[in-house]
Amino acid sequence: MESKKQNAPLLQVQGLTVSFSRYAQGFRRVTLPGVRDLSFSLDEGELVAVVGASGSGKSLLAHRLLGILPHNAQVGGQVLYRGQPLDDRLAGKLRGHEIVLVPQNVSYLDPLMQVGEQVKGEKGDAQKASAALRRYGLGPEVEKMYPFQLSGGMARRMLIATAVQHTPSLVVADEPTPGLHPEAARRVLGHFKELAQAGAGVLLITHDLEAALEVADRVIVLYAGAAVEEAPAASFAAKELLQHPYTQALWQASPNHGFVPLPGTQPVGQLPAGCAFAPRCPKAGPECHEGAVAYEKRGAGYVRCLHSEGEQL
Amino acid sequence: MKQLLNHLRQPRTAALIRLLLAAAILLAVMIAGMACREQALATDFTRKNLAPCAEYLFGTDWMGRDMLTRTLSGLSLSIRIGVVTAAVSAVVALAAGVSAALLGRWADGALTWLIDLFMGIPHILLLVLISCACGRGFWGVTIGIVATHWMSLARLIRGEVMQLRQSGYVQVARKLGASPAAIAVRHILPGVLPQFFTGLVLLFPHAILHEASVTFLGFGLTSEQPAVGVILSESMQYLATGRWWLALLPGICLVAVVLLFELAGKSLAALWSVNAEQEAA
Amino acid sequence: MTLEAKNLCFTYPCGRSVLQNLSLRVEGGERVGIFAPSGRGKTTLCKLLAGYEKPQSGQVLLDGKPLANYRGYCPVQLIWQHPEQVVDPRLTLGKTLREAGEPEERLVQALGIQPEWLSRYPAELSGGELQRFCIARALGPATRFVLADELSAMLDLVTQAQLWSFLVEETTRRGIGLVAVSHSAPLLDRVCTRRIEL
Repeated sequence: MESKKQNAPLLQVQGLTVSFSRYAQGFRRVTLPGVRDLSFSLDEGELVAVVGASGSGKSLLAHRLLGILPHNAQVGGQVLYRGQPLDDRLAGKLRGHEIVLVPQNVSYLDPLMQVGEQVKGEKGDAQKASAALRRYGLGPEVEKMYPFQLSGGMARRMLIATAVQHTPSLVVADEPTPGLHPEAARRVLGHFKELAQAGAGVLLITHDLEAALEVADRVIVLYAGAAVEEAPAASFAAKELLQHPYTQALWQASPNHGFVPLPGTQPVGQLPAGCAFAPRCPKAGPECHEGAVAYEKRGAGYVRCLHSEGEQL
Repeated sequence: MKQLLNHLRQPRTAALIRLLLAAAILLAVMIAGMACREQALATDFTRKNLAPCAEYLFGTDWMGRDMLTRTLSGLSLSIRIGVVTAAVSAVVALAAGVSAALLGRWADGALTWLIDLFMGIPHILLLVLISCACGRGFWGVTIGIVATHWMSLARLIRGEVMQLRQSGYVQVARKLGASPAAIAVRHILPGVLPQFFTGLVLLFPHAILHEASVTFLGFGLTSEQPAVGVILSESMQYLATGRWWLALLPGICLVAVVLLFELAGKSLAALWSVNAEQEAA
Repeated sequence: MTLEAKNLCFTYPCGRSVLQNLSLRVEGGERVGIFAPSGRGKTTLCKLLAGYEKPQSGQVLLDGKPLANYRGYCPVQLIWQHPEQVVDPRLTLGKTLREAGEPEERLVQALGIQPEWLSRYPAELSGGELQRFCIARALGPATRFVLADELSAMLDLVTQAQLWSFLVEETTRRGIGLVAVSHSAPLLDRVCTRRIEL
């Protein structure tokens, strides 16, 4: 079975759409856009970042890969893991050792359980757990601590240690850096880079483009839940190398570049017809407001724009 | 049609339907019981000791009284006692909980001590004592149940108010110059109302079961009332002679009423919580 | 106007001391950036300066008068890092925005707050949108100083640039003093007229 699928990439996501609705107040429901029409592939040894605004439901992507979506989520598109469809059953089988999640929230920790016990898990191996903790600079004294005694960075490293003690093939990290000081954040991201260098595929889901660029091989930029561009991290060295006007706007808004604010906001609720970015886009013409725009290969990456004309790397 | 079905399947709509259903049944039982009170008291020795049959669904007792109407009016009385006691305990609890949380450390200490004191006494004992002291009957039982049931909800509300007071939006409102009264009305009361109403509805089953048990023990309602506790305790002497229906059917109905109140309370909680569903953002 | 911190000391209830003898002076119209690693009490300092917490010793003075003496609307307003924690989930955002009176239409427009958002509940909007409401609310007519605690740490770069540019423009125009806390040195360099490290 394995042999004929050997050339398949570790993870292949094709046209994935995940949304989820919940109550806002009373009987009023809102649909979180989640991700729309997302396609990419991830190989062993690669670190790919998916960057989108916070609160847009990017976590749904992580939950889909782990097979832990809430039952009323709406899902479309396909996910292949080593060439096999990754359904909830397969995900359930691989979850925790081959495919692991480093969760966004420190609230995933059990406040009443010592760190060592918690990393080990129910049927884990104490030695493996302490080895994993040591690898992230958390010594034996930390094993006896309770989560509230850890700093933000330590808690984050503990979550990583928990996830990677069984040498997984696919690591999904959901917003691993918020609240951390740049030094601590860099260290945490460095650990993900090490995992990729050791041969795992790492998917980093984050709102922080600049942090992602420090470690990622490729970056996928989301706007209103849809991928607008996939580009090698190197393309972010200059605005001209970027294809999509939104990616260029992000680049220009960075304090390191122009700090230029593009006016307007991402759409809330109902999406505009055509390109979701068109109402704010400096290049938009009438054609942009009609019909969906395809996600096409352009140079080393992909772009969803009728007017992309940047140079290619 | 499909859309309607889909709509009904949404958790809050479903909860609302469950709540309305439970409330409708309970209301129907209450009204039916009040309407057939005369029949429940009517004795007819030509039909005594009948087992359940088509004409007398719950059978009749040794005085020829129809057990169905007796059960209905007993449950109706229970529900009415439940309404009064649950409402009064909940209001006492709200007042105690809110003042403990808002009036400062001294009031909080005193009220918390009082709550602990009342909780420390076995409440069936306290209930029997108060009921007897107030001369048994409807008011004795009501006062007894109120006195023994306000604490846990008061503690819950106190905790909720304390937490809301610490919330970011209340802190910001203070800095924006909102008065304590405005904050209480705008942020704190709407925040505790769900807990309050859910707690109120979940008090009913306790109140009803306690009323039935004190009455059963002979310290509650007097035996001329067709109360469920009276029915059950009277039937005890006849159980051994094979008249199972005297206790079993009214007992099952009592349990059903209690479960309906539970259902209503849980539906209300599901309806009102800020995040009834797991968040995935 | 002047916002002044004199010899602030603050210790958490658990006994860990975060601020020792900290003094700071900010003039109206000035934009001061505070840069520090986490755990140095940046958030605590903001809460002390805005009067949310009381220091164990030392004073926060606004024009020489203790901040606690100002009743009603506090002239020093704090913009929190996580907007979703400071808006009541049970109120529409229109009500939240009017918590301290009708906001200036100009502010609402400059912040890009769409009229249809006013009837929505917080769970319907993302952090970037909610932060716009929090900023508008904090800029009432009586505001003299604004403290911004990592207000854009969770936002995308475009929204970050929008919100900071707005704050710079608005505080300059009204002579409001701004204290910006961030872990990003390039950001503080863009925004502030002077930078201090804790």
